[in-house]
Amino acid sequence: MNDLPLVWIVDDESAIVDVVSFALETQGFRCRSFGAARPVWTALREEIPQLLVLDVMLPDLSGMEFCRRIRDSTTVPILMLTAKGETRDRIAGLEAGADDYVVKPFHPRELALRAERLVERSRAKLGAEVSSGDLRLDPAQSAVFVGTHQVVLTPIEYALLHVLVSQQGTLLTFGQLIAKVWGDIERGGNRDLLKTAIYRLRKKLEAARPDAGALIHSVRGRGYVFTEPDSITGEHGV
Amino acid sequence: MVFAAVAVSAATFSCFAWWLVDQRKRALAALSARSAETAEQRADRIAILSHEIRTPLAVVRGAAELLAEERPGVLNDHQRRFVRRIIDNTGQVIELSENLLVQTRIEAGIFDVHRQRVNLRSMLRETVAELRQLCGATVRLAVFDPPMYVSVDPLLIKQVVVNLVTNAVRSCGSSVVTVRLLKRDTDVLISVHDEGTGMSSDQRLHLFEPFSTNTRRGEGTGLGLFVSKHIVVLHGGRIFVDTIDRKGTTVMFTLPLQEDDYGE
Repeated sequence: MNDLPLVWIVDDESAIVDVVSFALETQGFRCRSFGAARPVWTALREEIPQLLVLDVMLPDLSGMEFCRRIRDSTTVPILMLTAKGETRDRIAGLEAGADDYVVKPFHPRELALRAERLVERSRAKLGAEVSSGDLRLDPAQSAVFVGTHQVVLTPIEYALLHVLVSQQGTLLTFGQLIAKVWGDIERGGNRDLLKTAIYRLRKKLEAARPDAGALIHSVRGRGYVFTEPDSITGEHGV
Repeated sequence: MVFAAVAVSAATFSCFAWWLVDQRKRALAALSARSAETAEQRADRIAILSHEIRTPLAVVRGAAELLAEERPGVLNDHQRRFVRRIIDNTGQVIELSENLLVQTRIEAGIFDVHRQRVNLRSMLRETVAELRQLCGATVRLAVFDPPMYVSVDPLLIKQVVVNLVTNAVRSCGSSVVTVRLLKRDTDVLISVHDEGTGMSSDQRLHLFEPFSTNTRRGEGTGLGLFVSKHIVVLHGGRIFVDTIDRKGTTVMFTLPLQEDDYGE
């Protein structure tokens, strides 16, 4: 029983918790629920879940702000529950550090499949060490180094960088990157998911070295390519 | 002395003019701040409204879908049929609530378009495939041009296509609905054709008004068309209808091509 991955559901709506926990338990998870953000902080001192399912509206703190704070202290994958059509909320949640999202009203089985994918991603050992210049990815530790600086990435950010670096010089389309990192489920907001993950990745690399973010070059309307250090051309757009 | 008096007057006038300009700037800044705050407050209220509507819908649909999986327990034929009805009708309420929330954001002046480069042919293909499953009707896609890329908000354009197709399916029953995509010199044209009852001239006149009493059977509140028109106009396009009473209807909309839109 304790081998089953543990999910924490943070939502003050007991009916939503009921639906989500049933879907996750029938997908092979153990669940624990919280009705507010503060009890989660206390609980994090005792254990770390394999996944957080987080509602965008909580009674004591905005889900976005809570996500940001969680991200500052842990790399646990976060799946956000958002309201469809509120694009700015979805993008804000992803920029705050959520690794994926589902939109209310959602299909419970889609949520469970996405949760499964996030947990698998965080557990996956991604083959051999890859490097480019002084950027090195160590899959044994799931650690990234720019020179001697370690860059702390979430499992999704690590997977994304690993895919890019291991195929450096090759244009990877939006669809290819989304399928490799998040799975093949098609939906309209996938491009936002990828763009915000790239944005967060660039920021973290730039914190280690100012020109490191430019190694991820965007090809407008098509995808991204990881360029070799001596071919950095300067400005990039998303 | 006259010169001194003129100089003092000019200086006084200059100071007064400066004061007037400064007061106007302060007033405009205050008005702008109040407007910005009001828009943000409106956006927050609508976000709360959206959450309050979507959460119970998520519970009803989610619970029904889990029952339909039969993992909580096997259903008998009646239960299976009733669960199906809950899912189908929840779908209609969800569609109505989506359009109501869009209308609210439009009227609050906070409706945003988030453009990105999209392969329109792929997007339509995916949307039509989803609609075939949702509507249970014959929905055909006719696209003969090579792939074309446009700068649009994909979720909003998808919503327009979904609105037009579901209206067409509801108004024409089991007939075929055809979605066409055509590239023209300066724009693309997307059309949705049904072989249903067509419209009277009165119905055509009020087609894009929400809550009009002159809607076709199946168009309900008419909100979907009102929202679709607004989305198309925000993208710089036009929407229009070609219809003959008892002979069928084609609703068409255009999306302008930007200078750097091109095919692959």
